[in-house]
Amino acid sequence: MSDADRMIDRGAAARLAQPRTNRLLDRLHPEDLARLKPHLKPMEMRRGDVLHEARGAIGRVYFPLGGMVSLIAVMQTGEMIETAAIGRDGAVGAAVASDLWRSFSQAVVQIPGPALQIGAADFVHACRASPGLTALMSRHQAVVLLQAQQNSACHALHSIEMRLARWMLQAQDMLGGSTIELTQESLAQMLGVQRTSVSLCAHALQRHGLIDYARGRIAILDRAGLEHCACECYATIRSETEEALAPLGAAAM
Amino acid sequence: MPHFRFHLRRRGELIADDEGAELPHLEAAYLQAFDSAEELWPMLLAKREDPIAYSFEVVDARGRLLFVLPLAEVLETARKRSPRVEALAEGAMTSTLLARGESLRTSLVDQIAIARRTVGETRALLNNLGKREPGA
Repeated sequence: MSDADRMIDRGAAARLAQPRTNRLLDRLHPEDLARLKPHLKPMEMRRGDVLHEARGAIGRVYFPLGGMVSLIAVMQTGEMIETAAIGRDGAVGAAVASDLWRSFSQAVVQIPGPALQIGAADFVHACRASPGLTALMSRHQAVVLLQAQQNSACHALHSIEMRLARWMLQAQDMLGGSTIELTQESLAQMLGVQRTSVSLCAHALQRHGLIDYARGRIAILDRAGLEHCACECYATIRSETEEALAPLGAAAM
Repeated sequence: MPHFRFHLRRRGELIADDEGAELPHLEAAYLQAFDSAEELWPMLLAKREDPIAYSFEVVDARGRLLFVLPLAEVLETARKRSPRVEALAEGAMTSTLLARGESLRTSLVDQIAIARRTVGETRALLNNLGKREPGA
């Protein structure tokens, strides 16, 4: 654990209170929720916890109530990049609902928070009994795929500074509050860049009065300004995610 | 593992690295600075900034300066690495060597001819001296 990580963990208690719910579970029909409830166990996701290994079996499905989990593509050289991020609007390992029992990417806790976990077999059992639950999980998988598609375009076409601004906005949406506790090293891994590039870009955003980034803590000072700096991917992912999470059946109307 | 900080200097301005990184040794710190410098080049050029104005100042946990890596240093290795440039340089080197060898050979032949002439002249002088001596 680095100094910056230790510093962040000390600050964990001071994290702003977030609504302790999961938006996918909130959306479930009471009957479907009742199917899952006996199997859902509360847990704390700690920074750096690997929930699923790349190409590893999915033994449990996680519903974050806070914090953030990154789905990471890891190269043979050890280089890595975030392909999607999941917070309280999603689930980690929901692919088992589509009979995919292996995680393609590595699921790592980037920002700690509470979650509900359920054994994959119990989860699949509940899904088989409920078309509504299966449909919601398919939609969620579509959101993850959408994020991955948008991210691959973003990584190829947009500057590191734009991507950093976008990432901060997304994290703020996911976590609530105006500060994000994350080291430059973790940010660099997620963006697939050198840590010093994050440092230089953050310095530029700070010089414009948009953020304050010191000792592993990002404070967003001017959200509108940051949105102006971010690439279009922020708005795209946000609106598509909201649409996918709209009440079931709404899209057909 | 030792802790290193990678401050970035742009002329008078210092962008301090307040986080730093833990790395096994100084060589790893140099490689990281170098990889970072490589990544900064296109980033700075896209912003119409001059990468040559930047350099990394890598310090240890106590803030002692360990080394300075100007971003320009990336160019040096790019020159060495590029196979085309390397081939050109090799070609140029070979023809230079050949030309030098040829000019050395020519001058050696010239020198031998000069030496032969000198030796001949010396002999002639000595002969003349020998002829004159009895009569002196």
